[in-house]
Amino acid sequence: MNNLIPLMRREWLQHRFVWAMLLLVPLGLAVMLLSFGQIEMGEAMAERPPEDVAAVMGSMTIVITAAICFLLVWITSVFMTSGLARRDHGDRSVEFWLSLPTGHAESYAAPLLVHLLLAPAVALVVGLAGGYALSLLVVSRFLSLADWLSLPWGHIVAATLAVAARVVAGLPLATLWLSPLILLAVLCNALFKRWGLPVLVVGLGLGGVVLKYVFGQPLLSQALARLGSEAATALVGASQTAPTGDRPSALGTLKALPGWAAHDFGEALSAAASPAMLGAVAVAAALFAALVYWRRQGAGMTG
Amino acid sequence: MHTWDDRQPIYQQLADQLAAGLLDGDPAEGHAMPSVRALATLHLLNPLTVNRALQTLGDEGLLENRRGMGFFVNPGARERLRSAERQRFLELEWPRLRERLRRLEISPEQLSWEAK
Amino acid sequence: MNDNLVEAKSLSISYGAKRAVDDVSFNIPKGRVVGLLGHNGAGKSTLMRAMVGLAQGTGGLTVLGLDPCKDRVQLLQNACYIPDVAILPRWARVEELISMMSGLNPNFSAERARQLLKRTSVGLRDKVKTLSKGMMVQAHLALTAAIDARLMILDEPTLGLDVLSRKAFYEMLIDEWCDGERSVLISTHQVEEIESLLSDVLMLNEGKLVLSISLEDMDRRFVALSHDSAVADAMSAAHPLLRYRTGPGPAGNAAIFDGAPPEHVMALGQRVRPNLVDLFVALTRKPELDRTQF
Repeated sequence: MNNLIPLMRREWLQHRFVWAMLLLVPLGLAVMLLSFGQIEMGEAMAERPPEDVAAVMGSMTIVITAAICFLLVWITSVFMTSGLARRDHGDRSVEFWLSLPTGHAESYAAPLLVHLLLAPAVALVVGLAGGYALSLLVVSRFLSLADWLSLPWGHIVAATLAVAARVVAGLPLATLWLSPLILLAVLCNALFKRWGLPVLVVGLGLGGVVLKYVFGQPLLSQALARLGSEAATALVGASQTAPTGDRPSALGTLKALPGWAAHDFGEALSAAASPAMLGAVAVAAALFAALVYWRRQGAGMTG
Repeated sequence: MHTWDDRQPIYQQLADQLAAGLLDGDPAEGHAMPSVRALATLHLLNPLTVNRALQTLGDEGLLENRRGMGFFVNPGARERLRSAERQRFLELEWPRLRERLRRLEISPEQLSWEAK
Repeated sequence: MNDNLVEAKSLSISYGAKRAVDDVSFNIPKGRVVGLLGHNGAGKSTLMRAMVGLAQGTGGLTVLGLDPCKDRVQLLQNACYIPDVAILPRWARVEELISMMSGLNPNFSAERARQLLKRTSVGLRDKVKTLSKGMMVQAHLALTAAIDARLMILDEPTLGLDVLSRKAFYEMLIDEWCDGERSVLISTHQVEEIESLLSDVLMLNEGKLVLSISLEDMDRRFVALSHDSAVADAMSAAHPLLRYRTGPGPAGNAAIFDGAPPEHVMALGQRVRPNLVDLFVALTRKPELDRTQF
């Protein structure tokens, strides 16, 4: 795997423009909208003390911006990854890549790492930074600059960094949960070309339904649902609890978040240490091996 | 691309071509021949073929292969080539040409020898 | 130390039921330019793929002393390969390709690649998608020749190129690559234009190796006789490999024999150099063709 870094660099060279667009366009749009638009505040918010409102406004801006950036890049990456096996067939450069001294496994491992882990994580960080900048715009426009400056920055930074760290740490776990599905999509795309994704969706969907209602075997649909929910909670929410009780103050929530994030991650970890995860990883490993074998046989170009 | 005829091996044709150049003093005696690589690139030939052509000229005493420096034109090469060409003309081509002139009944006076 | 860069012994490669390469044995020594000739589907690409570990067969195949399938990565660091459908990635700039190949192949020299690219009309900042086919092939060759490899495998590299681009390609190949130590294996349909570049030839017909010979030996072994149509019947009677026309008029006939024909037949015509194209036609003709039509 000693070509891993150069191969990862390829992803950067090939996709840096897309990633830049995915991040800058929403941020730019947000700047425009927030500069000229209005914010509706609910009744509950209007009853709060002003510094609470400022804190909520500031931290929500940061969180929402980071979340949007993260989700945009993550979802795009998952879709891009599903086409991994045939992405070089379009411009017919696949034989060029096959003629380079790179192992088959690392040729898949590098893009998987970059798109499923690195890119979303970096997007989250960029979104976070963008969020801080946007919070200045939001708070100073709808309240005042003084309000922004007097925000409880210590707690805000601690809370937002903690939640960000929670998501970044949970990302590998979520990826592992989703790995059998993602790799299955890649393999279907490899074998069935543009029919791959439809075949997969129909196969899994229909298969699940048929197994459940015709054969009374809900395993497939259950397994799929389980994978999905585990992945989501691996990112955030594994502990199934809210940071604080009913109607807390903004400051209270902020203070509680770091502790909650750590606890939440602990729950995600223990959920991962389960037979279900083992099964998911085993299936994923088998699918990865199948992909390596497919590439070794010429990546569908022989004949 | 240059087409070589099928009468003789290519290396021989190249050797003849190079010899014709030598006859015109290109390159001059004592000077180096173009490198194997340069000739190969120029004529789009395999370097082995070029090498063989140069070796052939070397065997005929026209070139000298100096180790590490390439082939150099031997002094007197031009004269040797000329006398060899002269002999060939006189023994082979001239009798044919003379026969043809006789058949066409062209007398020596009708040939404009001095004109270029 | 074996001077052979490639050794194949009874190599066979099959795709399902079809035998693409059938019991093929040959050697490629160093310092050669070997032409791999064959019609479409003769097995050329398959053979080349096997040499870089992209296809697996039975029998023995050693490239640079390595097993192409097992040691593929190590092999590709010392052998370079331009596949027949090789297109450079459209999204990349040339300098990005240089940077990627530098990272991926320790034997790749970025400096040499830049130097070779100066010979072409391709700029470092050019995007591949803006290059014409001819320029892209030249760029690909420049990148490939920048690998300090001992073997270059080119699968129909000049297919679809105009004359000037082909000429430039061969010039770069001879000038920058053929140094007597390295070998090139090049497959092509355009036999005529490549004949003078070759030192050896491998001819495939429907997966079988019908000829494996150096051009020097070919000139000695095969006898081509140019003759008059008057002696055509006598020529036929001596069972040549192929009879064909070299030009208009009664004198434009020729016949190729494998080995010297009897003296009296030799006397009927004039010996000429066996043409590789004609030999190719003679040896790879489909058997259904009627011999007497010549």
